[in-house]
Amino acid sequence: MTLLAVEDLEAGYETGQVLFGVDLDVEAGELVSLLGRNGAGKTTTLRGIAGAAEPTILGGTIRFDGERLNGDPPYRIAQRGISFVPEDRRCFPRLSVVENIRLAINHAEGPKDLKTVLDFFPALAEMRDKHARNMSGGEQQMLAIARALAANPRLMLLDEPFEGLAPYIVRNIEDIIADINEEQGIAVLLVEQNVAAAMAVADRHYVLDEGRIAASVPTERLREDEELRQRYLGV
Amino acid sequence: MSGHADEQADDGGSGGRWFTSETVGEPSLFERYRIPLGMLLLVAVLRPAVASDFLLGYNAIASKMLIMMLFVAAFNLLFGYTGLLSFGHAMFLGFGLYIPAILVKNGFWLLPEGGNSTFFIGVALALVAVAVYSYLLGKLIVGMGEIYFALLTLAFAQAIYFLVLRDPEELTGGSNGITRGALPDFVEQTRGEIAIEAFGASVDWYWAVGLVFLLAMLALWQVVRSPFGRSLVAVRENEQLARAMGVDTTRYKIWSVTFSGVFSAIAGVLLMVHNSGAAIENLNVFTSGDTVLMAVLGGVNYFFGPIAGAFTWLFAEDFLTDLEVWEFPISALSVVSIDLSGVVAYWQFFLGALFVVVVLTAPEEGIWGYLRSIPVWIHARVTEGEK
Repeated sequence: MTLLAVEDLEAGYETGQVLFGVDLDVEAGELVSLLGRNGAGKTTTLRGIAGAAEPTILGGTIRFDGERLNGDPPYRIAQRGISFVPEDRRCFPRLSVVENIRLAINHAEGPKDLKTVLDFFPALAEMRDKHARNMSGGEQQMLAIARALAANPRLMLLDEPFEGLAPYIVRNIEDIIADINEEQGIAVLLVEQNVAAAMAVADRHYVLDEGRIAASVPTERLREDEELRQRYLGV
Repeated sequence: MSGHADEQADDGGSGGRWFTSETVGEPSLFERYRIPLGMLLLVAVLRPAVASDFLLGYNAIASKMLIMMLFVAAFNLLFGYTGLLSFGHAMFLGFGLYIPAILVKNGFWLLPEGGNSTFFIGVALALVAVAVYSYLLGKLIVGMGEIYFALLTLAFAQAIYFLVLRDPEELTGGSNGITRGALPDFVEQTRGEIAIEAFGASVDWYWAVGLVFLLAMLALWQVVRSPFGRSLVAVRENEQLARAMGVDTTRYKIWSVTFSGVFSAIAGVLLMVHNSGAAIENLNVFTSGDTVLMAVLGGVNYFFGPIAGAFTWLFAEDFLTDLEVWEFPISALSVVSIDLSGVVAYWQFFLGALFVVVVLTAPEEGIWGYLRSIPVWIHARVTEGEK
């Protein structure tokens, strides 16, 4: 079943159009990555789906579970079952671990309970009263994902979840994302620069180039097709 | 964020720890209730301290301090906790000042002039009116962005100020305000001292203010640490993220304006009784401006910040205005005396300078932030010595 269907999405900022007709689908329970060079429009696509104040959507449709999303305010989109973890400033710095998670619980429809979430993240359970601003980058990323999970979404949008993290923490976060996908059955669409990490977790990859989808390939194809990687990703 | 901040916790949240950032089990009872205990202690010691001969030497200033603390704390719910700067907060104070005063002075329908029931119905009416007004005002202006919020609150406050000043129905007393007949029967006033007559007993005004102050501040504290209050903090910290998480940020801002307005009006009622009437000065733009300055001076990130700010402000105003000769230790037993009459005439300049220092060095921490960092600093030095 197709959970998320993006058709011919055009979007941009005051400085100019970035997306020129993006088409992508995410099936229920699937783990998909969206790859591309800097400025290809990866974050713009993700923010467009989440309904963020920027970018402005200029055309096309976004459907979630068959219903049209574009035009809805972001909090409504969140309540329908899409959790968005933005790239920077992912946590509320002056709220504690528990307060960050509770916030998601209080504003979601049919959320998970606090204990379920903390059981899933034993490392966070050990620092439940710590403020987000006193946590490391990896811990904050974990908290952001925990908070997204607490809303009990059907789709999670992760913007560069591995950015700026040490290699061993990257593997830790990879495991968490894989567990969320496999054990909880939550579909994930993640945007990534780190192609190796994306290949480690995702089953299928969209390659974005100059505001359009250039390729949609499973992980094996991406690994074998050196020319594709060279041309669109530079790796 | 400077280094010491790492050890702090937002006052409103779960028990913050002074000496350690690690979490060990449940917070103790003292930690959990340190804010209510702190406020109780404040009420208990404020008047004996400031009214003593060492400091200001008269009683009324302590009640006024509590009233202004409540008002600035109500303002800070909007500014410190939600991130919305109101430049016209005096208008909310005005509801509590004028509505009960007008009703008690003139009577209304079955309500007699000066009647106790008239006063309480007037207070209820004032709170309902301010709630409806601030809700509608919030609905109209919170969506317009931070700068327009500040400008529009200023504009609305000025509109109300001029309406009260023009006094079209001859109710508000215009520039004179309401100077007599505004107090209900249960308030006794003799030689400037106010007492509350209730059930055959007479209660000093300060303790009556203290009780209302405690109840209102406890309610405010509950608001701040409730899921509603935590959502307000989320709106302040990162509105985009809050929206992405399902928080209808506009609705939360509107309710924040409403709560802030209602608590401000409670302070207004107290101020009306304190002054035995309603003065137009409490409605003007300087009152609104002072509120902003007191909150920032005290530290907008903390529940106790506005309390520290209002205290410092009023203390400085009173202490420095009256201070012509500094005598040590007390005037009756003067060992050292220095003539300061030429210097302290500029007390507002010194307060302004202090404000500038606070804003430049720690804009959200304020005086309270500095005070909080002292035990942390001492602890750091002590443990350094142990190593």
